[in-house]
Amino acid sequence: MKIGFLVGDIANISGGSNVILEYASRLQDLGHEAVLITPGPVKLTYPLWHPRLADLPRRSVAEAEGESFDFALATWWITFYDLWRVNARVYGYLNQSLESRFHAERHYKLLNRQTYSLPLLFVTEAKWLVEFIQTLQPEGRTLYVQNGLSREHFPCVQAPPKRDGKLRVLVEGPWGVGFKGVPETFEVLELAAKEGVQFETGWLASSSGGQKPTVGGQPVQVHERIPINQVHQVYGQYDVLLKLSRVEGMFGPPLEMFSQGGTAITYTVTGTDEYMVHGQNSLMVEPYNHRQIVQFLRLLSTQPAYLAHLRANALATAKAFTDWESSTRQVATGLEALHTEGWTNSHLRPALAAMSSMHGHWLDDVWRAERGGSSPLHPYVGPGEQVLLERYRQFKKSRPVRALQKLVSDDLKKSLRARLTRVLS
Amino acid sequence: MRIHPPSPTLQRVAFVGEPAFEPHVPVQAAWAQVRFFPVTAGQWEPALDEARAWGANATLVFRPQDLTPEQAARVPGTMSVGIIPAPLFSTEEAQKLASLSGPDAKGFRWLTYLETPASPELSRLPLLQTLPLPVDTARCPSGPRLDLRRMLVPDWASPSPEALELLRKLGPVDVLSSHATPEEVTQALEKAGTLVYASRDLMGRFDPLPLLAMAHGLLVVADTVFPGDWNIEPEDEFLYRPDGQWGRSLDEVFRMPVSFRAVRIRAWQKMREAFDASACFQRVLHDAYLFADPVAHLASLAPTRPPVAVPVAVEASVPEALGAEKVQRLTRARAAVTH
Repeated sequence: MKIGFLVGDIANISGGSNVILEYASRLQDLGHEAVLITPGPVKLTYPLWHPRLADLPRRSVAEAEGESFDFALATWWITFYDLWRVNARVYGYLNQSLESRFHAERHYKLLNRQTYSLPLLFVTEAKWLVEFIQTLQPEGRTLYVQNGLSREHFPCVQAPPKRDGKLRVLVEGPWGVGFKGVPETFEVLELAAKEGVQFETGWLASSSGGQKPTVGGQPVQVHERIPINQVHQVYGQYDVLLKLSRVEGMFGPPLEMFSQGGTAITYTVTGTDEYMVHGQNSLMVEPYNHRQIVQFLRLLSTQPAYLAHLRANALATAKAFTDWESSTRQVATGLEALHTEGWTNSHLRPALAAMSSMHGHWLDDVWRAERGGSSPLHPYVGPGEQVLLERYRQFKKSRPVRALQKLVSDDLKKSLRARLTRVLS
Repeated sequence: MRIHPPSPTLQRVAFVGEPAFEPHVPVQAAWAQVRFFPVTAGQWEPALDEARAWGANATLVFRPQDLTPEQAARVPGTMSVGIIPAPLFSTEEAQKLASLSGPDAKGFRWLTYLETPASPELSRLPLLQTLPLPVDTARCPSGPRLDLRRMLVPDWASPSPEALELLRKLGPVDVLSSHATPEEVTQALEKAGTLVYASRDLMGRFDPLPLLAMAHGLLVVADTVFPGDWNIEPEDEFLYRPDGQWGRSLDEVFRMPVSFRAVRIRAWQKMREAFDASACFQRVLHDAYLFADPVAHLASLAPTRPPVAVPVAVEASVPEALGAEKVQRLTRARAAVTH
């Protein structure tokens, strides 16, 4: 089978891109032809953040337009609007989250919702997404496969590493992405330090954004832009991952932490249902209950037996968890079944093209309107012209002009307006 | 949220409070036998005696400040938790609660409060955690009914009469009386597709209706928001329309219902993720025992297997109408499984 993955920024570290690369490269291993279809030419930076990135064929959308695919899968939601550009028997969507939640802008949210409006093949990793998609788009086909845990990049340790001294807490995530909750996590840690909880802190980030946080007056050890095959070494240095993101798909980082014999404290965010159990392998709090995190940190720092209980169960969870080979086999089996069945939704291509045009025009208008400030004027009018028009509007509203207008009959006004429009157009 | 199964000794959990709290108590739970004992006409003794006779191992009491010290001492079980579901403004009530609760008190081992305590009196109480009044989602439909179009307007949080007139021109409107019984509230929610809610206060603090509506899969359109740390996301889980343009907002909903189905589904899901009564109270009891005595709690735990789901292959397309069995098959059944 020839499978095209329409991707966004594949050259830089992200959990979402990691999932795409695992599937694409392992489908390739199984004898299928997997192609990464990118918005434009991709410049790779070495060393690569993912070792298999260089092995995968890459084409820009323009290059892929002349090819035929058995499956074309959108990945990041914006790529849905490029699906029509490739010829495919099955149009699908590798959907890892409800990505409207990534944006504050209403127009992006509304556009994102449109990505569920056609009966595509949806491949997804979390039960909450299956539920969401099937309720919203019951005519589509849904393939649910849990992401695997990479045994290559996150080999499970034999036993949780023994450690003396203070509790070691790891924060994970980039600083500048609001829903990842990293600044909020450091606030909680600061509160815990003020309340006398004893611990040390590290921060694993794809990008620190130049931030150098401190906790309790002590600098935080920053692990930045670590290649994926070295991340487990960072996890292995800590007892607990504190991750307060508010939006997740299947929620991979706690599982990666589990593989190295650490536990996690998180919000009851989407995706936790996949493998986390409060009091068994991790601790969870509802967002409104975030003050409880300080109590949990105190508990873990003073009750080594309880910490050991969580860490042991966390490691057992990781050991029992499916790996990428199994997940990819399931995806391949699902796609092969559809292929054999002869199922196609290629008739959706004109609808995909129409939606793409609407999306493009609308975003162009939003962009023009934003460029012109929040003026209600036509988006094609530039800022200088807007000032002139505003002056003209004020001039028309002025008393002398209004008095003059009253003297002129409506018929004459209509006729003058028509003549002026003819002359100017 | 999945929670470690409780100790085998925790078999019966009683909830005691006024009948209005019943929709907020799990009607059933996979982790223990649960039962609500209503307090009628302010008479606590019969309800407490009944809970004791039933053999409650743990008891959760709504509005513990209403009990006398003698009544508090009669709360049955090895663990008792007082649930404070609405803001406390009285210093006297805070002092009374201080005398009724704590590790050495003959009353409540712990209390919960709906938000971060604002006063020093409240901060000194043995607060286990923050807990807004949850919703028993098992009593709600097992999937949003996306075809329902009726608007529900509570008479205590209604837009102006002029705005209401505009809404009536758009579609059928039901006005919910402030005197409605819990059953009548449930019936009204089951018929409606949208809740229109106008208020000067944050939603949910004093009035559980917006959360109940979301748990029923209604689209909530409001001129106010929920408390920030509840993480109920505007535009993704409810519509925040502060401009008072109710007619325009609802017109948009009626003209383009497909755009807002996602909001209704997410609202329905969010209630189950963070506000489900069964999960919330299970975690309250779990943490109550854990923090009271971590060593004893650890010793009481039965061994468990790793909580790893059985992999699922292809999900077929779903031909039946939205709702019930389909959704239940995917999450509720799994959520109920203990390990």
